[in-house]
Amino acid sequence: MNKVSNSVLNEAYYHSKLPNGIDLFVIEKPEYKTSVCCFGTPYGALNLRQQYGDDKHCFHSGLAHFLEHKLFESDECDVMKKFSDLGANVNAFTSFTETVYYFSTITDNLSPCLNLLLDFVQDLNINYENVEKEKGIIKQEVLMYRNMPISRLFREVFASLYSKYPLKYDIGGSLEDIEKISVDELYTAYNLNYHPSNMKLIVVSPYAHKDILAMVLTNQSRKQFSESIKLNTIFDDEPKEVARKEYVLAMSVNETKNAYAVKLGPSAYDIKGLFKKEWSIRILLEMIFSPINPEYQQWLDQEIINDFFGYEIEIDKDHGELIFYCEKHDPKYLKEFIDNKLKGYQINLENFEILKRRYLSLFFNNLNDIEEYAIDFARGILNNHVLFDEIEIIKSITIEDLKKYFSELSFENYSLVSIINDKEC
Amino acid sequence: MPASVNFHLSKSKKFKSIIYSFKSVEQYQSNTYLMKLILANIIGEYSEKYKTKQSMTAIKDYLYGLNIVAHSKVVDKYEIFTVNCLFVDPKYSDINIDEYHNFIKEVMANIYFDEHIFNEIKLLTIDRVNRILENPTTLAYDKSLGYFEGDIFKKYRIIDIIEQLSTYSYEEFVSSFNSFVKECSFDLYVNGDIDIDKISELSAYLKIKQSITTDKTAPIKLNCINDICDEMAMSQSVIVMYFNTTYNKFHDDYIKWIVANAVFGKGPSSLLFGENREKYSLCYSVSAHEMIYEGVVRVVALIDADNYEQFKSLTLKQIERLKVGDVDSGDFDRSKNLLKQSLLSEDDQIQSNIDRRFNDYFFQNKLSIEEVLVKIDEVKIDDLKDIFNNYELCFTYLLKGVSDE
Repeated sequence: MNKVSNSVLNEAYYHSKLPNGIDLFVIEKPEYKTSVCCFGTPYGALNLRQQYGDDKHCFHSGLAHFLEHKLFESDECDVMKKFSDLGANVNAFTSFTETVYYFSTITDNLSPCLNLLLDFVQDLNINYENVEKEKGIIKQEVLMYRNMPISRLFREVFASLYSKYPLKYDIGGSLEDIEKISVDELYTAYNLNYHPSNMKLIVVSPYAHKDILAMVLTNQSRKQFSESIKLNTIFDDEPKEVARKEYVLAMSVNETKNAYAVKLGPSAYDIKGLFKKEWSIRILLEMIFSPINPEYQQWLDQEIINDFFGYEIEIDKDHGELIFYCEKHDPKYLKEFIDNKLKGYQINLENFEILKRRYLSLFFNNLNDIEEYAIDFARGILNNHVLFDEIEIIKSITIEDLKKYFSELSFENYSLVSIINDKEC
Repeated sequence: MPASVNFHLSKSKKFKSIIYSFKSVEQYQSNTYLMKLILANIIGEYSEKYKTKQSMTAIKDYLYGLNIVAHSKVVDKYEIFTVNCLFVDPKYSDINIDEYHNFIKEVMANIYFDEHIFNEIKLLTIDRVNRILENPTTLAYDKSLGYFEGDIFKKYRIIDIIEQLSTYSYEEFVSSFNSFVKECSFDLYVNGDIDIDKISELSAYLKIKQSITTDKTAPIKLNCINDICDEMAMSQSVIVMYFNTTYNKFHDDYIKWIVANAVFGKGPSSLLFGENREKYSLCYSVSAHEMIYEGVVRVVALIDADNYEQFKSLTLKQIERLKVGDVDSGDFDRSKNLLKQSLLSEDDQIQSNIDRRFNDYFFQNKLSIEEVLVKIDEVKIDDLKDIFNNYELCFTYLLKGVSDE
């Protein structure tokens, strides 16, 4: 296996591409007792239309998440119970861009646990009855998030920004689509997206990388797979304009919640460039819209903002959003306030340097928890980058980068979203 | 080395950060609790040297994002006030330990506030607490606590805290704060790669001394009340069921009780997960929690309102099964495994390790982890019969969602 080290973090990983295409990454942590293994595919809620050769497939929203639920179904055993028997906890999550299955164990049972993880993810066993039964559980999960005001605010922001791009859907899917998902559709998506050539396996463990490689190779040698699959995800052309310029939803909230969301569009950079752009803009925004700006205290005193106020930024090759959110004032007021502050922004060199220190510390603190470490590393790999690289990118950012990347942003297309108290309607 | 300091050091080289956790325990009083709720939001935000948000943020960022989080919570008749300081291990930064300590001394020993800051923080605290109540599960739990007789759970209720905070004055705060700083004692828990001498010096400077530990109390018995249903504009409903159990943290059979509740409603091998969720698809989120002092167990789930009766009767059916020991032996062992795993993994987690050591000290737990593991192993299915024969449903609450998606 190839060893890659990072001197700043004093961390290293080993990498090997297995004969069937699985990318294996091992991080040795001999000082810990816990092992965490993540097995994931870059298949998430955004991958609704896919092309393999000449075949085009169109899936219902929420399919990746549904599949995550159903992979725990097995003819041979109850997967969760089997992990418990081995002294391990198993879990999974689906995001917009990936699905990850993982377990953690503190026992000496790494080998059987790893075999079980590989076996259950590489074997889908579903039928009409158990798919129909799952729909009730998944609907309750989707409703749970929809009834949480902050989670709902962001969902409505995405639904307001996008008319075609699948960020407009819940990760769990629309209630109507969940009802329409079938056994055949689940098998089709599974066969396309869970082929070893798409899969990444990340192990953070006190075990030596050679032992882990041997365990995985032994397991995979027992299985047959078709030729590697090269998949493309297709997106409809998303208009520059937003889907809903303004949107108001009444819910049971104690305080009105508002968002001013800017549709930034795609960014034509490679993965490192995208990160650099995103972190540069984040640092710039933090210099303006956080307590490090002396004006921030005045805004609080004048009740222009409260401590709910904040922002989120995402820069990607297919999409980009900048979302400001606040309580109390209406979103038009928020927009005016933000636009005004962005017009005359000043860069403070001292603040720039210490903000970089803050962001570097996040990496150190996140590495304390083995599970968080493994998941962060896995999510990075599934999105085509290595977690360690981010630290180098942040260190390399200059004042000129902040100015350059900010000048690329267009605030022309935006949505104003409010969640108001239902009793005020 | 200075004497008479009370700190608890777990020296570990595995973490990239170091955590200091200052913990103070006092008898609960509503006015001191309100003071601490506000104080928790002042510590780490203002000090004599750093009187503005900007200067405090800048120094924390200079110290590589040194993170200070304080909170106050009520446990039975006690208030537990915690200040956690998390910072990057000096060997990974260009800051030495003395610089970190000087800042921690400043933040802990030179707390600064005035009436303006008090009002700002009071408003912020009310906003945060209100925001917590916007989560339907939290709201249902909070509202349900209010239906018990005699305000028995008033100290736990967020709704009551908001009401008290809104009339809480600066003068009351100052008076309560002055008494606190005069009398207070902290224990200091540390986890990370740091020398004992350094901790001793910091502890001596801050006059760290032993805080109180808890008395043994008996579990309570809640009076049974009729089912209550409130309505709210949401597309899902929350059910909360309360059970008297006759067990609590200080009961001789505490470990058996914890195992029994795990079998009932914690994790994927539990009956509530296996039956209410997996077999009957009634919910996604379902669990049973102990109020470990009071000895009350509550079941909370998000359901469709139409399934209220079915969920309730199915939950009671699981209790009846447990009363006769009708449990799959594999599920029973798995639930025990889950508890053991969670104990064993604490040493690999920078925060959990501290929480366990505090709980052991506070509850005067004399058992080592190894001894607890043996006790868990010794629990038999027959023990569950005894435990669950003492369970009694005393109240079911429904926060009914009345809007469609």
